Amino acid sequence: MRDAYLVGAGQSDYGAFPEESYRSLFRTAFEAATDSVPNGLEASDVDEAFVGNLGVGGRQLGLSGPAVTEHVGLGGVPCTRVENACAASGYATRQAVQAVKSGMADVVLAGGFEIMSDMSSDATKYWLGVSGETEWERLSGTTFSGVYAQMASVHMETYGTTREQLSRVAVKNHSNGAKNPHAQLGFECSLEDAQSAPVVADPLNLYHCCPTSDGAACALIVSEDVVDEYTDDPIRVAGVGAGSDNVGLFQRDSYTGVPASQRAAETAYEMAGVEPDDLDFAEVHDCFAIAELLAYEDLGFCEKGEAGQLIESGETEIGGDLPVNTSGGLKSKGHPIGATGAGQVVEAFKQLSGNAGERQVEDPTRGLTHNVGGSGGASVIHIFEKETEVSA
Amino acid sequence: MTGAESGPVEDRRDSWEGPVPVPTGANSEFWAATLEGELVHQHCEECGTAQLYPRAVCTDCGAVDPPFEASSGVGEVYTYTVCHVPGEPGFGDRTPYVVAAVDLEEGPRLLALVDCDPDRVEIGMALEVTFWQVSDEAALPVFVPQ
Ligand SMILES: [Zn+2]
Repeated sequence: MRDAYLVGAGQSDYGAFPEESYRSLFRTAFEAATDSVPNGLEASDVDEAFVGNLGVGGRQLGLSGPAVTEHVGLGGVPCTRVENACAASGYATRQAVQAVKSGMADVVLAGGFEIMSDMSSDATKYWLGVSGETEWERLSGTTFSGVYAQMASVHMETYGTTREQLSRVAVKNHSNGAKNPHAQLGFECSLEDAQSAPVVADPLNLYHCCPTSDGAACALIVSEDVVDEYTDDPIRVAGVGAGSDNVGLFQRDSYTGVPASQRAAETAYEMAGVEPDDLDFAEVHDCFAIAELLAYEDLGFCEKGEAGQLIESGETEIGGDLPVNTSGGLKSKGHPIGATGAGQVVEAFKQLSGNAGERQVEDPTRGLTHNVGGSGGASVIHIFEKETEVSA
Repeated sequence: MTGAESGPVEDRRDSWEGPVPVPTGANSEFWAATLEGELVHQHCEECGTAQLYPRAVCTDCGAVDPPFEASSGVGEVYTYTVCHVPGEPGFGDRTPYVVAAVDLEEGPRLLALVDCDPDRVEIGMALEVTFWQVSDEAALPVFVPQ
């Protein structure tokens, strides 16, 4: 199979934007992505597009992919909307890589968007709940936060993980997000702030939960046959892995890990021929603080049960052994559901091309992105690697 | 089904403002049993797997239409959360309330409301089922400390 390369990526700001539409946000992201390609890339170069979107609020559920791609000048190009809840545009990226590797396309857009901020809190809760085992979860009275809280309760009981360790995830990600101009909650928070926030679903408090966001993100994936036209510093898609599972958490044997992520990681590491130790940074799916800790274990950053110690050690901060969520993560950068996976690729591109500003990791070669749908019904991982020469 | 009662049924049809089950397909028999105070689960005759929620096939061996059996209605907390921000409308005036993943004696795990003091709940706590009848067609399994 041909190799696939990441040559550009960009995003809109994440936040609440009553003056914007899903199309205007997508346009901002698309232009940021094409502008980021070192040697330039025109809309007319794009052969195919995959666009992630959950469709929160039920707006433009049908053909929402072509609705945004025609708006940015890709009218006529094959476009597929990808729905995999919060992992929608991580999967859109995977589809783009497949299209390139298969030889069917040379230049593919992987994007995503979501508008979430214009609804009542009851409507928002309803739409956050649509990606679980909805019938049985709703009847029990649980919320989406409650589902992750149940994972946190078992992890705390089994491994002695503490509320303070959960809060340290928030402190770290806010510290990173404060250095990201696109972040929705781009301010620092103290451990005391994070510890004293109101409880949402015990043991999770407000600082253990990501916000709801409007936003869009785009990445450009090209084949080895054309990569030289677009860049002299290619970033190869070295590994891809994905997995799915029962959509209801209560249908799974274990709550202390996400099997779909474990499978995705195994596949991606094997394809890339690397181990967790070889990574220089990672963007992981921290929709809730416990989700980042579970990711540490599922992706092999530490042993099972030791994620609490890893966050405490500071090694996942910028400057540590393996910085995690340098963008601020979902917690601080924001979580516009359909855009989140592509937004993680934006951070990987910025880090690997040395354009991450104040939050730049020192001279990274390799980074990972990890995007989860629902409570783990779908998971997808990419490993991006800087090359000095394009391999034939 | 054996006809044995798993727990008492309380009629809350007049006061309930929360979500109401819609019995369809493999779920119909489950919800019909709740009206009689019976908590049922599927028990595969081919491989012995006990499962909830009800499905068209056994999740382990794929046998079609695994038959229903009554549960004792007794189980324990596998994990839980205390919701301070409510879920569906109807739960709003209950906060803070407990939702638990309950491991039934017979094996299957069920997600359900637990009607108890939030300070009292802990992993491993023994529970037994009661039912709140919320429509003419169904009663919700709600657990209480044993
Ligand atoms: Zn079976």
